[in-house]
Amino acid sequence: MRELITIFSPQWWTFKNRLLRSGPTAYFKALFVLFLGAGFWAAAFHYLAVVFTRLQGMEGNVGIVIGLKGLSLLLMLVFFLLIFSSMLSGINTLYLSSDLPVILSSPVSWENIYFSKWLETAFKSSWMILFAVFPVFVALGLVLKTPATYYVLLLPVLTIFVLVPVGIGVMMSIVLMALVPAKRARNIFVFLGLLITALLFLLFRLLKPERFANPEWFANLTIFLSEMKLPVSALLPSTWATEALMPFFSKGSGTPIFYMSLLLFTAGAFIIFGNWLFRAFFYSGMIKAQQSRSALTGTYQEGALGPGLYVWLFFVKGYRKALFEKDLLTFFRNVRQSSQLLLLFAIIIIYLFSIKALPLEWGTYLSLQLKYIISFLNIGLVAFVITAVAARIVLPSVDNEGRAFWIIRVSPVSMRGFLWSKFMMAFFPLLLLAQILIVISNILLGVRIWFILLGAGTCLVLVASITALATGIGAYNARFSPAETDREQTGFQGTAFMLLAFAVIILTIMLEIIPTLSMFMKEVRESALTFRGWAIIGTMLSAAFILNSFVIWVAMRTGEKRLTAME
Amino acid sequence: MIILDQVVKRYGDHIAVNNVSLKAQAGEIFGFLGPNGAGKTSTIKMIMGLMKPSSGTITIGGHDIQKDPVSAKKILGYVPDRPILYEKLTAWEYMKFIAGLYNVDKTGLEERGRKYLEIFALGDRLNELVENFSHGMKQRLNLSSVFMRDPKVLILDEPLIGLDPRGARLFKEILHTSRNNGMCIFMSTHILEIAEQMCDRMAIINKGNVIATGTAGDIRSQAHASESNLEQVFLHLTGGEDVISIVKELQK
Repeated sequence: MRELITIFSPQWWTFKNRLLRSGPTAYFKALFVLFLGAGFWAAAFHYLAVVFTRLQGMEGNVGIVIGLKGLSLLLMLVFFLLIFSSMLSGINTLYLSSDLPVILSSPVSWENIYFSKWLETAFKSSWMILFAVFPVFVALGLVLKTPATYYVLLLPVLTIFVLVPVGIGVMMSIVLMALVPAKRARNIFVFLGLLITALLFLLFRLLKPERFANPEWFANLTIFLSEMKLPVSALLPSTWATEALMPFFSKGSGTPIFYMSLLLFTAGAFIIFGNWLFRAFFYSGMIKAQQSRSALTGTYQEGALGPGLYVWLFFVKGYRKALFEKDLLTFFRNVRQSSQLLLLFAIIIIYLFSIKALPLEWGTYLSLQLKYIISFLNIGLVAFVITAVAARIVLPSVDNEGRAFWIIRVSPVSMRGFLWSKFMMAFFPLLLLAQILIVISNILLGVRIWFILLGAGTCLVLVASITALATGIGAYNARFSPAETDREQTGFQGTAFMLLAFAVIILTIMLEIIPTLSMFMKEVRESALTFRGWAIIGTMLSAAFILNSFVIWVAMRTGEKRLTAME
Repeated sequence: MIILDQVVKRYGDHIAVNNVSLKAQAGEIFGFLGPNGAGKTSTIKMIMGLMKPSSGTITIGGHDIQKDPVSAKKILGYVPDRPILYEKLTAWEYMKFIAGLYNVDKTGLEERGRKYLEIFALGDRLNELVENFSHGMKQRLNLSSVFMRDPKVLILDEPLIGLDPRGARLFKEILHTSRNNGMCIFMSTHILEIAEQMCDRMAIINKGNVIATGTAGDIRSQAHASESNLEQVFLHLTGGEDVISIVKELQK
C-alpha cells in the first residue's frame, strides 16, 4: 500500500501544487469549467426529466419500457466505448507514459506497478463517461420516484460496472502489445479506429432510430412492446447493471445484490487475470513498444505525402509551402492525430444516413415546411459538426508545434503569417467536409437550388469563423508542452471555443431566419418579392457576413498578439 | 553586426540583465561567459527576438530586432543548447523546411544542404525521422541547417553540448572558417578552454552585469591576474573563489 501511495504521490503533489500555487486566472478558469459542468448537468437533467415525464404519460407501459430500453442500450454503448477507450488508455499508461523509466528502474513490486497503472487507466478512461451518464440515471430515478436506496446504490453500481470493461480493455492492451509485431503497431491503431467506426455504425443501424418517428412501422403495440422488452444479452455486464437497477424502476422484486456481486466478481476476476497477463507479457510488450517507436517511423522517401497532396502544395509558395508541408507530414505521421480522420469518416456516413432516413415524404404542406425547417437547422447542425471536428484537430494545431516552436519564432516568418498559414491549412479541408455534408444532405432532402446555395454560402462563412476561432483561441492558450495538449482540449480552451463557436453559429442562423422564411413563403405563394423584401434579405445576410468577418478578425488578432508577445 | 545598447531585462522585481552594452563585429567570434543564472540565456533570447527587453535596443546588421524582426532574422542563425526539432520529419525534410522558411533556393538546398549533412556525418541518414536521432545527431542536423543558410550573424548557446569529439572538432573548424569569411559569431559557453581557444573577444556577465570585456589578455589585466589561467580569472571575477575551499574539503 505504501508503494502504491508513493507511485501516485507525484500526481497528488502536482495536483496540490496546481491547486495552491496557481494564479487568479487559473482559479477563474477552474471555476468557469466547474460552472459549465454544473450547467451541463442541470440542462441534461432538466431535459431528460421532461422526456421521461412525457414517456411516463404514454398509453399503458409503453413510455417506461422505451425509457428502460434506452437506458439498457446506453449502458451497452458505455460498455463498448469503455473497452475501446481503456484499451487505448492502457497502451498509453502501461507502455508509453513518461514516469515508466523511473518506476521500472525502482524496486517497486510488479503487482503495484500493474495495479497503479490499472487504476490510472480506469480513472482516465471512465470519469468523463460516468460524468455524462450520471444525470440520465438521476433524472429517471426522480421521474419514477424511486426510493432513496436507489441513489445510495447508483454510484457503486455504475462504478463497479465500469471496472468490467476497463478490465477487459487493459487485458486487451497487454495482449495486443505483446503479440502484435512492433512494426505493425501503427496498423493496430488504424485497425482499432476502423473497428470502432464499424461498431458505431452497426449500433446505429441496430437502433433504427427513424422507426420511432413513424408509428406505422410496428404492426401493433404488442409486437412493439415484445421487441422492446427483449434483453440485449444476458451475458453482457451492461445487462447486469440494468438488472441491478431495474427493481427500483419497476418497483417489483429483483436481486440487485446478486447482479452487483456478479459485476464485482467479474471485475475482480479481470483484475487478477490482467495481473497474470501483465506478469507474463508486460516485459516483452514493453520492449516491443520501445522498438515500435522507431518502427513507427522507419524511413521515408521524398514525396511521402502522395501525389494528391503535392498537387495541393503546388498552389502554395514561399514559407507557407514549407509550413503546409511540415504540418501535413507531421499530421499524417502522428497516429494520434491522423486516426481522427476515421472518426470524421464515421461522422459523414452517420450524418448523411440520418438525413436520408428522415420520414419527410408525406406530401403535405406541413411536410414541405418540415423539410425546409430541417434543411435550415441542418446548416446549424453541419456547423456544430465542423466545430466538434475543429476542436479535435484545429484547436490544438498551434500547440502541437510543441517545444520546436522556437524554430518558427527565430525564423523571418511573422506570427501573423504563421497563424494565417495554420488557418488556411485547416480552412479548406473543413470547408470541403462542410460542403459535402450540406450539399448532399440538402439534395437528399430535396430542397430547391436557392436553399442549397444559401446553405453552402452560410457554411462558407461559418467554417471560416469557426476555423479562425479555433486557430485564435488555440494560439491564445498554447503552452507548447506535449503533456498539456490533451488536457487543454477538454479543459478551459476547449469549452471556451465550443461556447463561442455555438454563439456565432446561433447568431448567424438567427440572422438568416427572415431571409429563409421570405424565400420559403415566396415559393409557397408563388409570388414575387418586393424591393423592401429583397432589401431586408440583403441586410440580414450582410449582417451575418459582417458578424462572421468580425469574429475572424478578433480571433486571429488575439492569437497573433499573444504569439508575438510571448516570451 | 550585433549591437546591444543599455539592454535591461526585468522579471518583476528581479533584474536578470542590467544595462548591458556590447558590440560584436563581422569576422569575429565573441564569447559570452558567466555562471549559471548570470543572464546569458536571457541576453541571447533578447538578441534572437524571443524575448523583449524591458529597455534598451538590440540591432542586428543595422536592423532593430524589435522594430524590424523579419529583416533581422533573415541574417540571423541560432543554435540553442537543446536542439528540439520537429520529430516527425526526416532529416532531409527538416532541411527542406528550413530552406523554405528562409527562402533558400533549390540549388542552395541541394548543394550546401547535402554538403553540410555529409560533413556532419548525416549523409546516410537523410530519410530517417528526427525522433530516432540522438541529442548529438539532432545538434548536427540543426548545425547543418544553419550553415546551409550561411547567415551573416550566428548565435550559439552552449553549442558543444552533446557533440561527440569528431562533431566538436568539425564544428570548431567550420566556425573558424566562417569567421574568416566574415561571419559574426556570438557564442555563450561554460567551457573556458573553448572560449580561450576560439574566441577573439569575450565578455563575462555576472548577476546581470557585464563585469569584463575584451580579449583573454584584456580580461586577465582587468582582473589583475596576468599569470593566472582563465578559470582562475573567471572564478575571481564572478565571486566563485569559495569553490577552491570546497574542493579542498571534498578531497579530505
